[in-house]
Amino acid sequence: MKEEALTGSSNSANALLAFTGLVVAIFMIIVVYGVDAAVTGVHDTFHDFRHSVGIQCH
Amino acid sequence: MNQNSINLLRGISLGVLSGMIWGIVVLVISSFTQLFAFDFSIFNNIPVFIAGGAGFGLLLGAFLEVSKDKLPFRGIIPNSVALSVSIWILFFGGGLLLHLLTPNRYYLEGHQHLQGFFLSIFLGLILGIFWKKWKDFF
Repeated sequence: MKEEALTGSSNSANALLAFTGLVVAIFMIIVVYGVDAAVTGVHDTFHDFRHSVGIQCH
Repeated sequence: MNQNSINLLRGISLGVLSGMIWGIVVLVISSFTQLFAFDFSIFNNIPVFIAGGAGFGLLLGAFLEVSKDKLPFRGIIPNSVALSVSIWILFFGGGLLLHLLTPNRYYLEGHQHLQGFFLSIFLGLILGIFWKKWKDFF
């Protein structure tokens, strides 16, 4: 019984983690590393921010 | 609300708020340290840094919310700092991979990475303090 409860709780937590992970991936690609093909100009816009937070740039 | 339940609204709200404040802090500190020349003016950068900080904060807040019971430390502040640094290392690792793949385009800047590392600790601190103060507000 207790195991079922734990499994149910764990599933919803995992779904949230998966969703958050997806957001992380998209965020990393578009904002942190800046992909102009995805959103034009975003790479230049976040250039100073990227350098300030110590993410590799060019 | 049950301490162990997941309330994403709380995590995201507190994360975005801390991240926006952190974005301003990043801009101020970066202006003082002058480790690189800004491409844009400080006034142009204010909304960009707030948005970027909010993004980082959102991720940190959401991750803290879903993983707070699984993190190794007892208090929320050290857990928040640990998670913030972990997320920064994840981004740094991605950049490192890009550097290894295209070293002429993405290169390493030791002082900037060090600044980023310490700033990630600061983001964790801000969120941890906010969490401690306002976790029951949501």
